[in-house]
Amino acid sequence: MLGALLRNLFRRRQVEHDLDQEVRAYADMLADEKARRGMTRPEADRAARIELGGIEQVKEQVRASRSGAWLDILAADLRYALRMLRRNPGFSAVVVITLALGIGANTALFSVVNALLLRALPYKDADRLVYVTEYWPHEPMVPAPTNFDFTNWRTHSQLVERIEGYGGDRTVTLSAGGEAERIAGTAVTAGLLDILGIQPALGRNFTLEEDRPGAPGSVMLGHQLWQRRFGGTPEIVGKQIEMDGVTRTIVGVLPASFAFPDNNIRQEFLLPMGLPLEPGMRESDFRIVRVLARLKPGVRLEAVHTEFVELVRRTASQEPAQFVTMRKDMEIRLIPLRQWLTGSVSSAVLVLQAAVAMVLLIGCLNVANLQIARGIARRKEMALRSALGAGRARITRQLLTESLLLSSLGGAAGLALGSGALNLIRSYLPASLHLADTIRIDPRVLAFTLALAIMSGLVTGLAPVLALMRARLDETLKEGSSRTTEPGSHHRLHRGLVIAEVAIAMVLLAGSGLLIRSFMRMASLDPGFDPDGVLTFQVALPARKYATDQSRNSLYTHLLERAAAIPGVQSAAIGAGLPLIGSRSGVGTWFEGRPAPPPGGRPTIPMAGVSSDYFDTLRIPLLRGRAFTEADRENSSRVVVVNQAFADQFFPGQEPVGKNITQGVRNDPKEIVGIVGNVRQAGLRIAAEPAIYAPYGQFTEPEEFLILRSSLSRAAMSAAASGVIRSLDPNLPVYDIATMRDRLGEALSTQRANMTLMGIFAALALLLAAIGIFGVIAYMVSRRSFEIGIRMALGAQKTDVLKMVLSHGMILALIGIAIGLGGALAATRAMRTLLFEISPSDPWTLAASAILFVGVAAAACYIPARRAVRVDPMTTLRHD
Amino acid sequence: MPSENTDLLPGTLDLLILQTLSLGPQHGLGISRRIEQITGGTFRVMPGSLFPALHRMEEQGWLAAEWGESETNRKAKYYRLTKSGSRRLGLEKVRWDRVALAIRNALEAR
Repeated sequence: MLGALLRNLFRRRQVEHDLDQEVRAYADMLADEKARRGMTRPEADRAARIELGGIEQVKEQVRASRSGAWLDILAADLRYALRMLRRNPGFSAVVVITLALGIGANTALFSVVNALLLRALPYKDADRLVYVTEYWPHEPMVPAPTNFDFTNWRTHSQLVERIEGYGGDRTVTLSAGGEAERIAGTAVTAGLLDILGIQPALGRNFTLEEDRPGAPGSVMLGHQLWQRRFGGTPEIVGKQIEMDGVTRTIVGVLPASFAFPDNNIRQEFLLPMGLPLEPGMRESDFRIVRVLARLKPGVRLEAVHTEFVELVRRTASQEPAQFVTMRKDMEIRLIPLRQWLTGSVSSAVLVLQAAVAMVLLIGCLNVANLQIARGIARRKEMALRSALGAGRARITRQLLTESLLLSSLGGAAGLALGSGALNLIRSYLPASLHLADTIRIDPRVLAFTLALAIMSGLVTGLAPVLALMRARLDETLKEGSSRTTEPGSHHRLHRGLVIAEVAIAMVLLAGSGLLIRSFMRMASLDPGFDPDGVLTFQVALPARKYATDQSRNSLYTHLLERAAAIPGVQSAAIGAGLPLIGSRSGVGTWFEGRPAPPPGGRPTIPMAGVSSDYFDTLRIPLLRGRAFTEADRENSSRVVVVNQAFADQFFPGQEPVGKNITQGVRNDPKEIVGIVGNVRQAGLRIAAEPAIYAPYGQFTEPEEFLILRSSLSRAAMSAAASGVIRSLDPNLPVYDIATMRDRLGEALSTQRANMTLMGIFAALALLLAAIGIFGVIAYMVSRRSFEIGIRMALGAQKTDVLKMVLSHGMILALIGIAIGLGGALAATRAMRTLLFEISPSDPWTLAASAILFVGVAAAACYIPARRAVRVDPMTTLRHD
Repeated sequence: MPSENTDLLPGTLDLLILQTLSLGPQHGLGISRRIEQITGGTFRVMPGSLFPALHRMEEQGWLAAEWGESETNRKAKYYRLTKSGSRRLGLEKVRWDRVALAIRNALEAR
């Protein structure tokens, strides 16, 4: 067997020669036989050949039955395909480029889908991890469960294997190992790293003892902080450092890869949370905990939800009265970790993946159309091959080899394009999505790309095969010239493919139109302030050095004086909050003269301490009353300014200026002295909410933004302001330096990314569809040049011919556009969450996209139509 | 294409070729004529099936081939049964008997 295979492969010439001899001898002996029965020699030879059925066919059948025949045939097909590819470099290039673009875009997007939605999360048993959160409808500011609920679940739940928690940002000033710096860390329960399956790179995890209230201070360093401030020395473990005046022992260092599942929590360091083991129900014990639980194997999410709700209900009677009101109608939410991590991005990624799949489909249809046109041109060649002994299966195999060779080249180029585009795509994803770092070409992506290449090859190769099967090859050789009209079925296939292409491209165009309109709406949104020429810094006062409001206020006052004196600064202000960033605090607020709400029933309103020039510097308009002045100080009467949304919500139809609000445990009255315009405080997507501003002297906070309006360059401004701050206190950390333009751009970035990517894909689809229309019309013109010549010879005018060709193409385009609009109405609904203040079936966007498409289609038809008009009847008729 | 010969059951062509060659070496046309003769003209093997089968069986090692001279003094390729081919013939015969018996029983079953 093996010997036969080797002989077939390596002694091909001998084998072929023997076969030829053998079959010829058979024919000769057959003829001898017939001659013996009385036929003349020529008659006998002829009869023998007929009985044999063709020497070449017999030889081909023997070859096909040999071992290794498939290898042989493959090699022959590949050789032939390569020859065809070289002979038609233009055609080959178009096909390879089209497929490379489509496959490349799909590869890039799929690596994102793979990293975000398919690949196992980088945590232990991540499919059983859930994030637990609570929503209090009457106190929407409260972001997570309290430690009461956490401890309750931790002690009593039967359905979770383990439940751990971590806190919000803990920002401290670190002076050890260099210049004073504000660094952000997080408090965690001792078992948090265990539940995530993460081992420290150095040292150890926190112990349970270290996680008790009042335990001696301990800390784990993040990898970056360890490298940056402590030179990455292993001896650091066991050393003590001071953070915000507390001495802490370094027990371990986190691995470099460590990232919290939570998107916005940084990890320069970790501290133990030190939650009370048996919390009483006093307000001072109240803490917010982010909760991660691992379900026991096989336990359903709903069951755990029911259990958690029941456990909270059981202890409700022990809660203080104000909790009952605050937590009325509370919802407990259990979110599988993956969904929680990728929720906002996954819908965008899936929509984009669908879009690139459509681009590839259009590309394939285009290539299929080209192949059909070429297949028809190659009918003679195929007929000849068939006459020389190639069966239908053999011809099909050869055509498929050709298209698979092209699609493999396209796939390889696509893989290169796709992996090159990964960095681009990563830069479009939100910075907080740390899973984005895991986007790469892995074996699954490779398999996906390979599958795409093969599928494209089959789809594009099958079309000409179908076209050939319809054409009867044996008839072809008899046709003398190419003047004969094609069978109608080719045209139907051709037109169907073009219509499908146009329809799909129309869906993409409509989708990208909606995203462009969404972006334009968001970008032209009045944010309520003037972002130009404003630079902002964050300044934080260490609690140890600035322990009293007085010391803080005095620093802020000096800072404002010196900042305002910087040459080129038009105005300077501070504020414990910024538009788009939000306010630092929220305060329970009520109104003098109104019946007191039940305990805990006061709405929590975002509030920020600001300086007198805050509104001027940001150009937030003062609508009524007055802004703050230098006279509004610590000891003067309490005043606040509210925004328009506050006035609308709490004083509908009344004049709020002059009224008093009450806050705090003693219900201190504060007079509303002015009303300012709304700003997009919590981000662009969120409409203005009620907000309160107070003079910073009366509402002192340890962190403020320094806000400078000037005509100077950013770099000059930044250097001057840092100098001023250092001159006041060289240890004062300054961070988060950005212009308000930057912050606005940041707020727009997701919308811009979606728009850009979708726009690129839609443009690609439109281009491909236009090429498709162009190709089909150009082909029609070239095939019908004879007919056009006759028409013109018979007196048809150029405009008649132009009209005929144009209408032929535009009918296809219009049918496709109509179908595509219907598809768009259905498909764009899936992008609802990506849109901003626009309906997925917005008629103007759909109409505009359709009109654009009609224009492009007309252009694509016009070029071949002009060629048709230039047809010289005499030349055409004389041709062959 | 209309044909006088009866279509061969799968596997029967191998059996017939092996049986023919068990009587002595023969070339392609000879095998074809011999099969026609021993089956009383029921089976006519066309070269399009004969040659692929011969080459396949040679590759399996059931047949061996060498060039010789025909009755009409033409150079022809003669096939003969190898040891492995004789064993195969035995197996094929047993299998065929079983199939034939089974079919007869099936047809006579009431």
